[in-house]
Amino acid sequence: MKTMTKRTLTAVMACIMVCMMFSMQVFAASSYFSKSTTKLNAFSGGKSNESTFTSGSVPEGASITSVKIAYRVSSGTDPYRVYLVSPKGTVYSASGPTSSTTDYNISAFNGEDPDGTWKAYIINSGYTTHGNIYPVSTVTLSVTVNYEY
Amino acid sequence: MTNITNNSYLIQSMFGRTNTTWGTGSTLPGMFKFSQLNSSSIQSQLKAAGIDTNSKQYKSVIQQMTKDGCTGSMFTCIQAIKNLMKNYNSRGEWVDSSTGLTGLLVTDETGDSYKKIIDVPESSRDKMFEYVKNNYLNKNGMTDGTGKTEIYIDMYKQMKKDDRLSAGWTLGEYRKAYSQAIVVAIKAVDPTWENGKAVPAGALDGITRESIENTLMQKGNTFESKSIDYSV
Repeated sequence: MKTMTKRTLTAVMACIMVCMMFSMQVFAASSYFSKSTTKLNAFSGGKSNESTFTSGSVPEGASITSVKIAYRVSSGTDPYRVYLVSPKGTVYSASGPTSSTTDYNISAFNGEDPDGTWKAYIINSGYTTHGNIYPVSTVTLSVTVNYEY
Repeated sequence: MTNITNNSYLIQSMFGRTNTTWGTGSTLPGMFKFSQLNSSSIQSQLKAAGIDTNSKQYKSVIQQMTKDGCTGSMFTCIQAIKNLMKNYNSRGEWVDSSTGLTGLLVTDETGDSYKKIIDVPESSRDKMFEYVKNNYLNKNGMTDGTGKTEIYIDMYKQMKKDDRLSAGWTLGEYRKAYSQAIVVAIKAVDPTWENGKAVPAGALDGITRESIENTLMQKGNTFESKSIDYSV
């Protein structure tokens, strides 16, 4: 009786583990790609050029775990908003730093597919804090996309 | 709306004056303090420039400038306000310039509330499944970097503005479910298979979008498989 109970319990545990194998997302590995934009220059409330970059070949089924943006800000840059567009079309927007080099981790794209073309641009916020003749913002971004698969 | 391009900054750069400032209290032509925005003089200038200060576009711009940290002592100009208004439609909604669509903007304040499962068009799920399956059959389980943007954009155009972010999330979860099911089917034939290796012939015979979706159940903001039986 005790042996049957032990065998039954073992069989039940094995079934649960097999079911979990099929039901849980299991990612075996992780990787990343990192790209820098061209210099993004915007003034008087205008939009900079759009800088595009592609993921290159990534495993199908991959999922983003985090995105990091490193900023190189030109001296005298006025306030601006940065826009990062994923291949899925999600547009992330945030106020960008106006001095020095700063890294920011963003979670807005977590769970998305990293595969495809990304776009980055800035829009000058329309006012000057540096006494510039006109509001002007100049920044270069380095974007790192981390994913698992 | 006319895009006014001002190249004076570039001219200044050519002559070696990249940042030209002026003393406290002086004002260059065209620039005014943000605190003067509602003065009769500035309001007249805005109207003369074709700006409707009662419009939702204008109000969205002023609201955003304030949120971005613009205070009364900072300087702006009519051209800047006019250029910023181009990013908003007549309802005051921000418009993505590359697609012309609204409802796709997320900020740090948005959070994850839109990451939920909703109904999405069957045609979009069909396209996504075929794209994913093709990547396994013909590209050894790898993508080629061209992405699935068109599938998403086409779907967004069929959705209401307020549902687009959730629709994108949902279609993305279907993508993952299709991929996981396909990998299970491949590994049932070749347990050593990994991305980059050719998929064994016949491993995906009989795998359809419907056969996968019939095994899915929603769990929170994602899908789980009830069970997958691909016995050969």
